[in-house]
Amino acid sequence: VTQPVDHLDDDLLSAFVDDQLTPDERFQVQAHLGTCSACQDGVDEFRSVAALLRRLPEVEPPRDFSLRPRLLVDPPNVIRLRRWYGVTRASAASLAAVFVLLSVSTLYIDSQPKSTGTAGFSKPQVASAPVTAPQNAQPEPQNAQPAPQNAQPAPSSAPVAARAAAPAAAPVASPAPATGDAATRPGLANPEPLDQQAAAATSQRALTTPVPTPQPTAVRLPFTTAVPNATVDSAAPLRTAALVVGLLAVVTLLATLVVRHRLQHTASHL
Amino acid sequence: VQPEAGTLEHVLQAAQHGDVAAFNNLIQIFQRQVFNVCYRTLGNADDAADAAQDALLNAFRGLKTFNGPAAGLRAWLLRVAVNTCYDQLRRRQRRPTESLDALASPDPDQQASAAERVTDPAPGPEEHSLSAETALHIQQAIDRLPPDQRLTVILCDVQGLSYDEAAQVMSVELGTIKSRLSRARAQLRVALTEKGELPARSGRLHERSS
Repeated sequence: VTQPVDHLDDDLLSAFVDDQLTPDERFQVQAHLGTCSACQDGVDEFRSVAALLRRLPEVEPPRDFSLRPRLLVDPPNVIRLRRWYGVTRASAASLAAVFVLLSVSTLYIDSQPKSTGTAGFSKPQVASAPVTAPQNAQPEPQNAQPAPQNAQPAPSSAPVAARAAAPAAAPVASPAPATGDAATRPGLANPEPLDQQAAAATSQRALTTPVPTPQPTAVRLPFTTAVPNATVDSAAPLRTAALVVGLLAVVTLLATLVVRHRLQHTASHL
Repeated sequence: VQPEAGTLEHVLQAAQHGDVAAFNNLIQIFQRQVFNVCYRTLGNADDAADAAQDALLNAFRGLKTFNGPAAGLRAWLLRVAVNTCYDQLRRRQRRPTESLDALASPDPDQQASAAERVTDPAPGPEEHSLSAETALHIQQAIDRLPPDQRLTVILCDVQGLSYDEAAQVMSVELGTIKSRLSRARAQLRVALTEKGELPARSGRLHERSS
């Protein structure tokens, strides 16, 4: 038997087994097979594989697949996904709303002191009172006995002039504290160095305060020093809460998108 | 089991209008084949049952998109099943550990018993039913085919569909079915020869030349 160089295409041989060729193709294959044992072997092999596969037994379904009403409403995984979608979407929306609310109130509080200047007048004073009071209170008890007239203006100047009063009052009160300071510092008997000491103390205090110039009037100072402190104290928790809620809103929004994607994927196969 | 064409047409119309009972009648006709396609494609009964149920449910939901004659219903239902199987296979690919484990370390006893359990209830009136071991070897060889070839060989050789119907089911040209089928058969021949289920080529050539 002579072996032709050109063998037939596998697709032809395979389809020939199933008799799925056009009459022309079939004739061509039949003519070729008569002269080519290799291609005949190929046909036999395709035929034997197909025959073996055809003998694979049918499998009995493990259950009836009729659609029960419960199944029809929604498959369980879709029900679960739908529920998750509702939950995540609702929480994303409410968290976003809370975030907006918090942001707006933070901004409002930030802008509030400028608009309500007079209303804030008493507040900063209360806030700054403890800062100045101990400084005034310490010399006062000592001054109270030797100089009663000095004790009277002290309480009045403390609440009103508050912090700013200190530098201004320092030269005025210097004669009186002189005795007090002399008592606290026994080593220093000379009034001249005491004045310098008091001046040094005031200048030191001026350095520690955030206000660069102790000159301005007593009314203005409490504002510039106390107001920023008050603002930061009340708005900081709000700002933190807004940040946290905002992050949560973003996370739940992402979760919502993921769940929605899955839902769309599982709900439609067609 | 197959009702006459006129009845089938009526049942189909009712089902298309949302009559679940009518669709359940159609399920009674086709569920066995739908399940078997899924079973051979996915390689195990649990996944196949899930896929078949999903496919039939989706088929009911999308039944209005089927506008051909009732004669094309089988191909259409099998197409829904094939798509469901593709989804399932894609999902497996995305988390390959499970399927790879199943492939890499096949528990012969467990798989053999599973194959037996599956073959036993349907001994088949055929003159010669395959041994459980041979059925297992064939299934393992099918499992290793690429999805397109796998489904084509299942539809044409295992289920006995015509090339035309298989082309409808897979939504491809007839030529694609031919080439996929021949490639699948060639690959299966190699695998099954290795397992000793088919005679080796050289032996046959030798016989022939002597």
